[in-house]
Amino acid sequence: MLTDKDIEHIAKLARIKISTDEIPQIREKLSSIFEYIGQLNTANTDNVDPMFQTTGLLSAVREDYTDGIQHSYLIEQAPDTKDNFIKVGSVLGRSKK
Amino acid sequence: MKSTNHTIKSTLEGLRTGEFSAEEIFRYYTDKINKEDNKIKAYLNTLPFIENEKNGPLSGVPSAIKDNVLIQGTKCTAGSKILENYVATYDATAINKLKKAGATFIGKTNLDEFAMGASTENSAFGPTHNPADLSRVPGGSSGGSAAAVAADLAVFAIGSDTGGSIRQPAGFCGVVGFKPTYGRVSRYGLIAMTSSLDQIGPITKNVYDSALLLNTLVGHDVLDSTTVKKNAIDFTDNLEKDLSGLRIGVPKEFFRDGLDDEVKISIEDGIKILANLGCEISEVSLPHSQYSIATYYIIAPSEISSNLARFDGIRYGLSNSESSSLIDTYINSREQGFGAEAKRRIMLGTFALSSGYYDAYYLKAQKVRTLIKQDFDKAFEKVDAIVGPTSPSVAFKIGERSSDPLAMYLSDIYTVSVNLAGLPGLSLPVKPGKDSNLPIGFHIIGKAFDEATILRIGHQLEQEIK
Repeated sequence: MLTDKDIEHIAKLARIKISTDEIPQIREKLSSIFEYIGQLNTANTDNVDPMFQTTGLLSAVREDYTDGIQHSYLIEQAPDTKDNFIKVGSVLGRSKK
Repeated sequence: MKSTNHTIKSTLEGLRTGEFSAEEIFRYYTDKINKEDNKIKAYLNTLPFIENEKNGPLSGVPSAIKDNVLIQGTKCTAGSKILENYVATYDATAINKLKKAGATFIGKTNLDEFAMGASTENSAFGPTHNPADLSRVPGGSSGGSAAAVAADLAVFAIGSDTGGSIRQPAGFCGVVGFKPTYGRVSRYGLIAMTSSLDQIGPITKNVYDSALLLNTLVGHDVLDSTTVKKNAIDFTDNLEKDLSGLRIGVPKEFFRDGLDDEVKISIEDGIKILANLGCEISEVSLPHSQYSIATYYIIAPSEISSNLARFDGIRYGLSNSESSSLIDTYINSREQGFGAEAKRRIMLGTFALSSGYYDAYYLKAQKVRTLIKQDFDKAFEKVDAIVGPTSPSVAFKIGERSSDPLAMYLSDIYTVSVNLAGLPGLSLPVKPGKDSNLPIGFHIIGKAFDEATILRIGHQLEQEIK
């Protein structure tokens, strides 16, 4: 049901790199799962509303305050930092450093 | 100190009478882990002794924490290479509550990567072994927590349950696992997998301990907008209250093909005990439960693909240093950091949510989810609780199902619908399998926010089995 091209497309959307040799195995496993999931089509859902959550809570809001996590703790976790900022690679150009 | 397989109650008693101090009982468990955990591998790491609140209801009780729950200043890997060196920057609300209640933390336990799995084999750090038979899986994803409690390497443990991840490993290991109603316990600081299903709960040596822990864990939290405001009750209060007249439903769909004979026998035996205790047993029907796994494997991967998008090699976690552009950093870090099942579920969800497929998969699954919930609503008009097996089989062998994702998914067939409907569920050990002599979990499902009733049923069934 899924083609090699589908798998490449999904991987690209998911930001996951897969090698060409992995594709057949991934395709086979995902296809068998989707085949199983296909049984949902035998359930009659005419006039049934979707249920996205079970508590019925709507628009839970809270006061907007910081809870005291230190800025430095968060920055320390980043693999690459400069002057207390997180450093990232170029978006449009080529080189990072 | 002699080995006594301590419960929370007996630990508190030992502390009160001065048989041991909080530090002594902590070191007793740490030493035991050093000696015995090389065979079981329940723990990913152990932590130094830090005494929390001294006059709380759990003061000095050593616990094990699933490694997807954050403890500030300690590593939290979620069983994934992508978080191998991640250090938590804050405490989960559940941890905060346990600290205030005085519990101590012995270590972090193994899990399937990001809690995705039913065997703990998907951990990037190797599988955990079932203490009842080391060649078998402990179940999952909270397999490390269940194995730690079963092997008496902790007094109690904390797990998380998205499709059965507390109840199924508890059943496989022969301990008590409890998933509270969705909205009862804050997930702030639980590494998110499927946000509309995830719930934190206890794994314990008896039902009383689960009830006691629930007292500490529940409550509205401004930091988790899915938590509900409910008056606090003492969940241990009515455990002894007579069961006579209580109406128990047995879903006929749970006793069909796919259920192993020895599991069926032990569960039916448990139901007989409940009848002898005065419960009124009747058959109920959950006709859409046949769709629960298919529904789950649309909803969970969809939410996973979204929740795991945050792991991008930029702000924290593994980062591929060879990449020159931003997009390559994302792609290469995720390639290196995620295991096969995480990648599989991200791809499943990405496809289900992609343009042109949303209605056919995601929306359809959310509609079937409504039908699954309505089945329970209808059944609960006639009964106070629903019982059945936790899993269709006893613990399977390590490696037996790891190459077939679908076979693995089906081991959650009785537990998943409870998450989809947002209900509370309890698994407690009943008579071991007559052929395998391995643990079997008895599953009790309650109405939303009626944890007290299923704890009461579980507690009294447990007394009869002991």
